[in-house]
Amino acid sequence: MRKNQTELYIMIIPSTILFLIFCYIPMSGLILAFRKYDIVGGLYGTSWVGMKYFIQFFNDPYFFRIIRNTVLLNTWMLLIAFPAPILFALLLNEIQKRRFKRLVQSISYIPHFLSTVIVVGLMMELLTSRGIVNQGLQRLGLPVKLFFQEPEMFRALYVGSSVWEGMGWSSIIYVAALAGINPELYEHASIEGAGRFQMIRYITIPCLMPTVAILFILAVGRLMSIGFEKVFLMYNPATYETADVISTYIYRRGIISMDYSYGIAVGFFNSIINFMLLMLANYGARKVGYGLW
Amino acid sequence: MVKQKTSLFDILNISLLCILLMVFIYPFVYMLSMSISDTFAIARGEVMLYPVGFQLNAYRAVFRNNTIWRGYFNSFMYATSGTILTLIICSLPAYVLTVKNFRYKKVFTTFFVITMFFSGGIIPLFLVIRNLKMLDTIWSIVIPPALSAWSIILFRTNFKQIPDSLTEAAKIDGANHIWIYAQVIIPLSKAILAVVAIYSFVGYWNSYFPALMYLTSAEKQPLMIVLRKFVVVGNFRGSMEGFIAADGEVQDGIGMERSIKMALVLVSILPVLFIYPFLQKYFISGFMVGGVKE
Repeated sequence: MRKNQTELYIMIIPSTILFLIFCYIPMSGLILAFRKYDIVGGLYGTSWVGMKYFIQFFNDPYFFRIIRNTVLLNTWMLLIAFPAPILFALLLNEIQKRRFKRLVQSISYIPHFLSTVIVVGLMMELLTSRGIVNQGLQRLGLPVKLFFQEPEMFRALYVGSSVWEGMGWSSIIYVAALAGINPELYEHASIEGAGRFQMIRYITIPCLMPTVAILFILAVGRLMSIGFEKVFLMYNPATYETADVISTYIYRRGIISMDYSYGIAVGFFNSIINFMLLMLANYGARKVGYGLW
Repeated sequence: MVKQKTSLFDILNISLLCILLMVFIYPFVYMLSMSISDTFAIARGEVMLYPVGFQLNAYRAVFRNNTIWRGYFNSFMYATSGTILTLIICSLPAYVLTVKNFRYKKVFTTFFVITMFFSGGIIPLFLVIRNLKMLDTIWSIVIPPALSAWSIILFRTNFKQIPDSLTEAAKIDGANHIWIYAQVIIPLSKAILAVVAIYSFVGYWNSYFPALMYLTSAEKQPLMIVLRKFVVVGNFRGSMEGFIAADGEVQDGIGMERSIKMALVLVSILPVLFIYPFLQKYFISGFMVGGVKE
């Protein structure tokens, strides 16, 4: 028995060490949010400064802007990109021709596997001043629009392209939930004389609600976090007014300007808010009977 | 589902989905048409859907460009070695966590699962990598994404489904755990290995952020960074020597530039499109097993 256990340690220790170095040590590096960073002080800085960087952040002239942009962008995502795959799954569910359904599904997944760089590059090509969209505008007698230079266009572009990218893939979980509905429910309803829309309204949608609720809670928990990668590719100083979010600001201040402690403090603040939002969303969902835990 | 007659609703539904289908496909058709159309036709705005005229100079320019070739090679190297690393790093502990009498099973499971929910964020990781002198090396690109607790759990769930009788038989024959892992478990887990390998390959291939953060030398940049420079930032002139005067043909400069961009995008998604049929075969099952147990 003892010999067996030694082999097990040989197998698990290398991965454990890597997780320690690249996951746990960075976690402990969050201490730096309360300490002054110094190149000689290594990862943990040199001296305690207390809440200095947090106070600095609350007085930052961009504090309000990045929080507003993050929340607004997520709100639009929640209003448009969140329901899109649900509707898509409902439409697919009503298709009786299985081959057609599968064709639509497998094609709708493709954009999910494209790199963000490609999606943004494509969008830029379609929306350039000589691009196909602007030609359409010109034919309608409208002026050429430089979409990526206009702050008021940013959110629409971000949300729109996210729908294109994610709608098919995100619908998988809903399609699976719909496939799990007991067919007897429909048969009974049919015998009772229920119409197509009544079945959707009183069987399909209620059966889908638990899944929707779980994903909604998770989405609300992310209300204050927007991934860095896509915004970074899409924005430029002309659109910072609407496009600059917390993660891109952390990158510019923390990495580019090497304000490490400040960047970590902003990120830390952000994580705390996210955690509280998740708790709040779950509390609300539990009240209506769909809690995560 | 109850059989029903085709109604107005069905017709509307099918037409709506057909429109969506076109929205999904259109960008790909457009890219292809742009990459082979006559450059003057592109400049005049005649290319909307199908190609107008024909040229292959855009592809010639792409294939002649050393930066692109090197990016392609680098990406391929990062993706392949990263995938192999992911499979090793994640499947080994996953096997250990399925061994019934392993003493610290709970401790190790918690240790890995915690990393799914908490992270230090980008700056502490950057500092760790810098302190380890790993900046501008392949390790900075390949190691952090390979540490996926999600994949460990996925492997563990699948390894658990292998009947105990098989491993017991090997044990009676005097086999140790390393032998059981290599000769019994791994050969029986090809499907899940394929799922994780495909996911991770596509992930490495498509990512640009680690390279942006950690790589400084021009000759180490992966394809997505090259693509960002040419297609997104539009830093084109000077980096594509002689692309306008390809083979002495008369071309429109800006039309050619746009044609080259689209050719480059198409070339860079080839590996993913090539993997896609395999993905189709495996990924739904992989997507679902994640949530099955525990």
